[in-house]
Amino acid sequence: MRISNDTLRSAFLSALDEARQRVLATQEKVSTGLRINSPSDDPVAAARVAHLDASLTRLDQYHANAVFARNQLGLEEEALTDVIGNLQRIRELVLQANNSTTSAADRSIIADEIRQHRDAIRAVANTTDVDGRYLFAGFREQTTPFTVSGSGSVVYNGDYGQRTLQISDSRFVAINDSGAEVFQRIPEGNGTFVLGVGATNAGTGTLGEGTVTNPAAWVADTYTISFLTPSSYEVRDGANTVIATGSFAPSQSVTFPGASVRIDGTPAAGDTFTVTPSAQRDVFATLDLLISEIEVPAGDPAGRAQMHSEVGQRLLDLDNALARVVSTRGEVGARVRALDQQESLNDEFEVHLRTTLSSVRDLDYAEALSRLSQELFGLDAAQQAFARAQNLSLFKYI
Amino acid sequence: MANILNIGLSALLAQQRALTTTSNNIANASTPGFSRQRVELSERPSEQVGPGYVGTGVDVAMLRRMTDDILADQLRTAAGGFHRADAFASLASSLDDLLAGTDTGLTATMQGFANALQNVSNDPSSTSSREALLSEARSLIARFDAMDQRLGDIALEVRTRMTAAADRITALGADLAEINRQLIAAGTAAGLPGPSELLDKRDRLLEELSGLVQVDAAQQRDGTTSVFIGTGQVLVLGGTSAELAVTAGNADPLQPQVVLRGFGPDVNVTSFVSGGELGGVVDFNREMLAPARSELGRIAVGLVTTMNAVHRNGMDAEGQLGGDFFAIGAPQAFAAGSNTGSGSVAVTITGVAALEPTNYRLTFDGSAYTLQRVDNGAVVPMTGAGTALSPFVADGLSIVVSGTPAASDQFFLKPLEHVAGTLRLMVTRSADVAAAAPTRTSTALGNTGTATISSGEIVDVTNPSLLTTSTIAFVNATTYTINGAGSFTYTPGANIDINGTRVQITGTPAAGDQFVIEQNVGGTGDNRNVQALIDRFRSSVFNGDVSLQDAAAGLITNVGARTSEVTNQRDVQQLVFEQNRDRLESVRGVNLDEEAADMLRFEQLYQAAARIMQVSDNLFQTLLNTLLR
Repeated sequence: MRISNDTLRSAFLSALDEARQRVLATQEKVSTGLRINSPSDDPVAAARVAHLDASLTRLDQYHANAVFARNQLGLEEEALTDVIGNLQRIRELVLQANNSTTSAADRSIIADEIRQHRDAIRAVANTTDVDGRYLFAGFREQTTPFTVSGSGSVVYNGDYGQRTLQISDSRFVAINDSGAEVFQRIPEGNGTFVLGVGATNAGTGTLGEGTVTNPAAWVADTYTISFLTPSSYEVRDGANTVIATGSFAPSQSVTFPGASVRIDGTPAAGDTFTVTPSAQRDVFATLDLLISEIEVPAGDPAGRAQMHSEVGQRLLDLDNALARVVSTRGEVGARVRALDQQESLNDEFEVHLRTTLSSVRDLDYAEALSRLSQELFGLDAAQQAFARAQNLSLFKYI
Repeated sequence: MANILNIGLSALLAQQRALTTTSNNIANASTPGFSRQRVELSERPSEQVGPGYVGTGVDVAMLRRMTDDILADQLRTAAGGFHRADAFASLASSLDDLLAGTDTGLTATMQGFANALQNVSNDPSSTSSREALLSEARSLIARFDAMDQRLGDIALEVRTRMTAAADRITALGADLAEINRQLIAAGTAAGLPGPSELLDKRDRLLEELSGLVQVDAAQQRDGTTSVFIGTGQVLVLGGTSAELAVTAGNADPLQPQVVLRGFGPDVNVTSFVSGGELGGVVDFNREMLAPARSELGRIAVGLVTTMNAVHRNGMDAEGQLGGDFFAIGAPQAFAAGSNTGSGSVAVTITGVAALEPTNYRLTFDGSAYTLQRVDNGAVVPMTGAGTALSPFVADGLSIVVSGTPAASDQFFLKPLEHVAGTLRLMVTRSADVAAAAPTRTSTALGNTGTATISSGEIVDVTNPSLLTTSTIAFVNATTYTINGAGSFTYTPGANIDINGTRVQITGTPAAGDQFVIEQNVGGTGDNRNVQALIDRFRSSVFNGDVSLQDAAAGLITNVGARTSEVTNQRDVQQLVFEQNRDRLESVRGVNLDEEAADMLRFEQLYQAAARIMQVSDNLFQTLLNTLLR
């Protein structure tokens, strides 16, 4: 094929141009440190990089969420521990007061101390976080959850809301518990029924434990246990129908379909005891009842028997409240553990993502620099060849 | 003797002509488009002398212009292919850079918005996290706007390049017509070859023209060249040429179209031109730029629709229902300028999931309507009749035709192309961010059963009784009333919809248990609606399980892949072009070494010819000397 001078020149020039472009491309990569400077460099890898970047940003956000959650849950755990301490102290005091040797004056002092602890619990229930937002008010975090009404009872002003935060693409954690669940919806008695003492009882019959012997046979109704004589009783249901009778000796149980109630001491004829289905009462009301029951002078044996019966029942209620707070604290602990677990998973995942991102996007400097020096050498050689070839012409010799 | 003299003279003249030609070749060695010339010699007819024939010298038969029309034609095709790929690739690269740069791209800003939502979810009553959300929303809007503007800049560049190419094509056409006239004047109609420099100039102009748009050049018998573009539209015929102009579109006034004027009525050749810079720019506009703008608009519409739907279901910090979070402009529809009827078309978006990133053409043939996508020409089936009561529905759009269109009237629909820059934030105060849900549930304290109620979700925020208090009361473990009325069977976990709120009750209720659904008053720590916003932002928005982030990333990837593809194509086309050019050059290019050798040869021949004349003169002198004695 004939080669014209023009072809010769343009072939050399385009070779030079290509060599220069290669050098320029490699230079850009070396100076940015990235293998991919625009998606067209490697579209598939660029798509992966976009996904990896998005995942990393999301992980950062989940970490921030987890930090916030841990703060809130930590505050809640402290508050619940405080409440447990108060309730346990109250329990000790109650046992002390229920002791038959404690005098009325001592009981009065004990009642005062219980009041202090009750107020302390209410203060903790109204605890706020750093921004002044109430921990136990559900969603209504700017409203004081527990206030005292005119009649002296404690009113809950919050709601049932539980806020959840996202700590991974598929995992959420709750960061609060509503005061209603923690302090208010506490079951009475043994959870199924609660026992009561007739106000006019004259004997020394003291209520002991009430159990559900057969859940299937238990019918929720208000039952009255009446002692016709100190050794015989009858049980009437809410419609005043006799459903059970029996003979009795001290520390034996009165039984009727589905339930059994132990009574210590000696009831007098005409004494009554009630069995009512459990409703729910808040812990403050329970404490108020407890205080008023302890403060009863109860000079005579009958009065004392009544006091022991009622305080015994309140003790059950108190245990229920304590159990609720303890289990809530356990839940909070479990949430914190879940947070920790998720955080460490997230950390591992982040390392994995960053490694993958680097391998896809970052430049292999060793390879790039050696390629750059090769390309520079190629450029130099092309330039030299051009200079020398351009020198050749027949006209120099004629 | 006279013969020898004549022969010598003929040789002298021939070599002189040859030397002139060689000198011309050397002088024009670097002239672009120059075809070297060679002198072709032929023997003069011989004379009969005695028993044989004696030659009478040499003639210059012709001056051949060394070129190859077939190779020249191939080169023009290759030039068209290369310049098309080059124009396409350079525009595609600028689009690629726009979308991908972390400073100018979309994905990072969208993630920032998502993170701001998470921060509000962590602490809904914090004014600063609400303010940060609004700030991120404004950044997101600004980013959409900036990208839309930059895409508009690229569209402007497209139009400018189209206009420049069309103007240059018109000028080249005029020049070619002028050359045709000059060739006629030089006598090519009578069969003469015509001056070489005119033919070279014509070839050069044709090559430059091919770089701008693919043309067919047909040599006519009278020596002129006729030039056709597109599918046979005439650009140059004899001594007259047509004008190529860029005007506002007939169907879509916002899109430029290429119009051929001159021979008969104006012809819209936009879809016929191919190859060359003009073809590359037009192809880029249709295949990459318009779809990219529509895709950006689709993402914006998806964002607005999904965020608004969730935000409306929420309650803000002042107890008001959420309302719209964003607002966006309406889809556009035009009637073609050439329509003869009085019809008009209105388009609304009804189904975000089915939206496609393209414009549409609606054609009326006199009785029925056909809807076509502009990006690939595919026909899209529609349901409905086109009236306000029964609009056409296709690809997530609802189309209503009003007025009376005439047969072959066309309408151009642009639901998405220009909306990305019309995004607006409707929430201006941090308190107006609807982070909470409007209703809440509670369990009555006196409940003795173990049933619990979910916190509730909104299924119909327009229900007029949404915020009234409702009570679910269980008459026994399996039956409940709502607000004291009715008798419903209890199924654990089943949906119960009351006044627009949906709840589920699970567990075992006891007789007398009650649950309340009421207005969420003072629930400033409620993050349910902002959590719903987060979920919606991450979930599927478009058909094919594509979320907003997926669509944004997909836009970048598609443009990147296409850019990479056309860049490779351009490199290949460049090689083909260079190969073709080299092949043509090998026929017509000047090789100085060759010319140097020829020059030596012709010089020697000239000297020899001169010598012949001297010899002839010597012979004559000898004869004279002999006779004169």
